[in-house]
Amino acid sequence: MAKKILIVEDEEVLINVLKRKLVSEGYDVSTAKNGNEGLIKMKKEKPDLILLDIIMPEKGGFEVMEEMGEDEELKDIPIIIISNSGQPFEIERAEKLGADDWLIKTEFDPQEVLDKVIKQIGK
Amino acid sequence: MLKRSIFIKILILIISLSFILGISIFFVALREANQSLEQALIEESKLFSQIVAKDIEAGYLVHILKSKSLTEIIPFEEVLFLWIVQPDAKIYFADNPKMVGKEVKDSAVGAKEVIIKESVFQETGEKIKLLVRPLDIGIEEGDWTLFMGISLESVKTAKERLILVSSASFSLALIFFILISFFWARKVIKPIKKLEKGVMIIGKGDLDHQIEINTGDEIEELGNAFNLMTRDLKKQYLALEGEKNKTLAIINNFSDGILLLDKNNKILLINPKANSFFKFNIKNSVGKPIPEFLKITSFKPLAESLNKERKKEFFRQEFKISENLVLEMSTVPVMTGREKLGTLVILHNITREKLIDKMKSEFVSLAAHQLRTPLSAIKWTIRIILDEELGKINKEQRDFLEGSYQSNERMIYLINDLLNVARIEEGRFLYELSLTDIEELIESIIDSFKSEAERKKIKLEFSKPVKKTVKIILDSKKIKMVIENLIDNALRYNHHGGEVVISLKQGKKEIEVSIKDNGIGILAVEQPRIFSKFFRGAEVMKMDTKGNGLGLYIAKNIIDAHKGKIWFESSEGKGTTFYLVLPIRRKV
Repeated sequence: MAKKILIVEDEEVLINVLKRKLVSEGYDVSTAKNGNEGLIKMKKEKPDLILLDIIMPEKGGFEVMEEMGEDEELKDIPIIIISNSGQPFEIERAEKLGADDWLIKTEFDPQEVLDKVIKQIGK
Repeated sequence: MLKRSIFIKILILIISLSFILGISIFFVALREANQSLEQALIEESKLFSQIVAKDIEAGYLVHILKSKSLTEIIPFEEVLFLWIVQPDAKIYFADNPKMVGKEVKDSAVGAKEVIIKESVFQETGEKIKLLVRPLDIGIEEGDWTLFMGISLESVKTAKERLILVSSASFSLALIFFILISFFWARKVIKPIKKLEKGVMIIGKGDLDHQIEINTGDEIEELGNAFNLMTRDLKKQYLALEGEKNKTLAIINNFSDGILLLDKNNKILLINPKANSFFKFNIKNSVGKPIPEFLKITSFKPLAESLNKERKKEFFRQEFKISENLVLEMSTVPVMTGREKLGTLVILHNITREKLIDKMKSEFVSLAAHQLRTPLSAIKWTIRIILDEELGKINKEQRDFLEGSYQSNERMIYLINDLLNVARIEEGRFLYELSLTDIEELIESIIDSFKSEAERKKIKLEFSKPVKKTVKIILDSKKIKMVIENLIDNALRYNHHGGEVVISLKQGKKEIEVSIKDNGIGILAVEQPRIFSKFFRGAEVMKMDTKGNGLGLYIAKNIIDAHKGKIWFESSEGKGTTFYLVLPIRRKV
């Protein structure tokens, strides 16, 4: 059975590119446009991996991670942060909240995102 | 009343002087009078003895003296006795018949000339003058002598009278002197008293008081000098007062809050601005020590900080007093020479600066997000097309898309550089230090430039030391940024077929990295500005329009933060070498 990945990201173009790339590699991909929607979907779908943006409307990535940490069912799902800035204090905070990997959008290609995904959950 | 008033002193001086003078004159006069009286008596006696002697020598003695008492022929009442003494010292004749035949025991018996000497009259024991005179009575049997005792009673009486009269006149003179001195001393003292009173009035602060003394002497001059001094004092006082008012006006209208504490931490002064921060009661607060203000909630953190013993004299700290008030407190010691008089506390309202800082940070984050998101979207979209995930593309399509991808990448770099500059200026450009193998770091950077160097046909070389370089403490991401920037420049501003050599050297205390190219070089006039923000050389701009003039500015900031050095040597048309020196530090 294909691995399930949830992309939580507010920029639609990025969602489309990532989804296309991951689907073509055989993953089962669902998407959410903000933190609230993401939390609902992850409770329902129980994904194997979450790609999580930090700055989003309504509920940001840090808050999503905080809520996941308090939820027995969600707290062990691996998370890869996809962020805009990558300032040291942001990375530090994300790692404390349980992020497994980290990438800065402008510095990575979709292929590199895929490599990180494979590293976390395999093909 | 003064213990030793000048009045009494002058009086005593005058009286004792006149007393001593009077006594001296009196004694000298008395001595003179005594001597002259005695002299006169002696002269008279001499004359008398001579007459007596003549009578005796003439032979009267034989006839008269035998029958009459010698006293009868002596009308001179000062003569107490008169003896005619034989050469064998026996009295031949005497005015008192009892004395005849008695022996005179005196060395003057047989004297050859007139002798006058002190002696004592044996009958009464009184002091007398003894006059001895040789007698020539024509007998060859030896020297006969006349002895005559002269009473000094008359001289004594005269002397006593003289003493009485002089004492009386001296006493009168003394009383007169005392009176005169008393009035004169009073006359001298009076203006001095007046002067004293005037000085007291001036001393109490009445600088308009004038001392009026018209004695025409030195005291009047002293009075005038005092008046001049008072006038100058008033001038100075007014100037000082003006100065004080000016200072107070400045303090009262100062835009920062000011507290002045004495060395025991008591509040000496609170200016209105400081009061507006805490709403003290100024009247009740001045003079009280800092610990008494711990009750005022808004002032408590400052009071606690001020109450601490501090080694550093100059101190600066931020305090958030309320949601709408952030203060920066600076303390400055107030010194005179080496002695500390107190502390000046300056309270600067930095609420607005804090707000602007916050807004700036927020803007930077916003810019980062808002600009980077679309750039990422473009980057990823072009990439996925270039990677032919969405189907095959032809060469022309690929070339165009490659071009857009590069433009987009430049935009991303520009944004990153701008954000880095903003962070440097805000002091938020944080450094993550770790023990780094700089040789490895340089090798990985060179690897990432290999394809670009090949495309431009530029030889890229790494000349590393034979011995492995030690690992040092640095922020590898930031140092990577610097070296990448320098290699990028060396490749960018070089000619086809050029050369770039990166060298690494390890010294005792530092590691030196150099990046040498044989490119276009930097114009001499532009060299001093090369590390300035947004500066781009004229030649460089002709060659490449894409740089942003931030790379070297950021590089210099990073190297400075590592306490290293960055500099270059360049000659126009021949090339440039950049040097980085980083201190060898093994511990964070």
